[in-house]
Amino acid sequence: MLGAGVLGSGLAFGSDGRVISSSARIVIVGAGAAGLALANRLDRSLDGARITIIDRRERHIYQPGLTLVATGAWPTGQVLDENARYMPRDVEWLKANVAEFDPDANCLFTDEGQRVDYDFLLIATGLHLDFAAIEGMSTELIGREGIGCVYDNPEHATRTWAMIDAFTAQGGVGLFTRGPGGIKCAGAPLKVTMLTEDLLQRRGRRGAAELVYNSPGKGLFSQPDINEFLKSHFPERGIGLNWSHRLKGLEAEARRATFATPEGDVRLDYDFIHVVPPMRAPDPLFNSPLAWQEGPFADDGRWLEVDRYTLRHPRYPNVFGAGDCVGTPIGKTAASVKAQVPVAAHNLLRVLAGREEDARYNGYTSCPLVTARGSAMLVEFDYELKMVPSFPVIDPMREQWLPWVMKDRLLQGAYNAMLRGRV
Amino acid sequence: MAFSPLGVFSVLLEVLRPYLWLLLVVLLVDLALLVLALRRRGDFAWRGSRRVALWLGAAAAVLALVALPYFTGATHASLTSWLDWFALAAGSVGIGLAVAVLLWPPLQLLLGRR
Repeated sequence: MLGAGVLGSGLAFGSDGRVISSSARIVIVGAGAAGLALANRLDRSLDGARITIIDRRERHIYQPGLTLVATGAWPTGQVLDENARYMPRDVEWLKANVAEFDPDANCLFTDEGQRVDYDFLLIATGLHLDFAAIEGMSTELIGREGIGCVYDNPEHATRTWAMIDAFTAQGGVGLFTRGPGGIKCAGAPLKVTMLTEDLLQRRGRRGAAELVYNSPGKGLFSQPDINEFLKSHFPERGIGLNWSHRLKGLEAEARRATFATPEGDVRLDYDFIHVVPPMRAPDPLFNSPLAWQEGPFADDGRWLEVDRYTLRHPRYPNVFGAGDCVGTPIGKTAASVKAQVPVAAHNLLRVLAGREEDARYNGYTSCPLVTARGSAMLVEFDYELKMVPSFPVIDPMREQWLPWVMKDRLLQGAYNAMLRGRV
Repeated sequence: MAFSPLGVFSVLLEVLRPYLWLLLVVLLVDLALLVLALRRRGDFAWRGSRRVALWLGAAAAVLALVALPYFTGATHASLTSWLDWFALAAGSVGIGLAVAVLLWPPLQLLLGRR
């Protein structure tokens, strides 16, 4: 999910818009959207610093496009890219994964046993999709027995499209789920539901299918105005709603799902199911002292502890974070990355210059909520769940073509510009 | 969120990046044709070529008005607000102007020979 926020200008490079001389060793963990954008911004703002980025992945996935791949609107190749295209020349790229953080010793260890020392650490690991938390579920099942999952990679999305394509042809019962707690792109499960319904309409097969969205809580969306809209919009489109239904297990061969509800377990048969697992911090972060040790962000997914405004670690002040891994109330979208990265980079540069950090992340996130092929709502809000439209002329409460055009044609370019640290 | 001209330019550059080589080729060819046309002194068909280019540009704008929603996987029924129609109209006019500007040099050459 990437909102119009990526078109914004962000903060100036350097704490005063100038290049800062420093001999600091800066390590960035993760070469996803946040990691690459941080690397590019810092590389341009620092002279003499040794910047290392650690990630084994060479493939870059445009994750905001996965919902479009999974619903047949985009070909798989459209979301594939290479990290090398965005990696700054002066940044050392260590192709390994982090196995352990030791923030008390200002070092970390890779899965190849290499020790990496740092003066400053920027954590942008992304998150872990906890498929194992659903009994009977594994990623090998995606694309089989009517099981789909839009998240994680284009292979999952492509196999999900095969399942949705078959489901719309054959009809039956379609179950749509959402993992509890903080998940990335919380609009994606809703978009997959609405785009499947739209596809059934387009193919003249709507009457052959029953669609039911299973929410793990008592709402559909964190922003209250959009939540109210969806709570009436789904029934208007004949999409049933089950509240407090958390997907607990799957019997793939029998095409049966078990949901935990306040009244006890409920088993539902399906012909297609969209599985959205719970999400949490990746193991090395999850098990490290850098994660929240108590409170909602510890209970939910042991996310990276940061001050929600400065994105600086309160207990380890030489650590900053950005992206899906940070424990903030909202903000696991590419649009959030766009807003977070300039803040984290700027505040680090201020610290390097011996000054107090002064940039603040206001919780900005954005979701072009696609309601049908050719129609979307451009929803942008902050920590206070107030709408903060980048384009006041676009009504966030209205389904329109223009936000769809942005999602379909413009936002990937904006995302790439963000990776280069240009917006 | 605020905007900066550099940010908007960077986004446009990224959006056009896959087609930049094609744009560059078209612009170079056009430029070459324009130079050829300008070197034919006394054989200029300003008014005629401009009129034909504008007509072709208008035709392209009308075509865009009809086809643009389908090009985005939508239909005209997807346009639900004045903003949608304004965006469609503005995009179509832009395409029409681009077509007119790009066609003018070859038209000048063609009509100038008569």
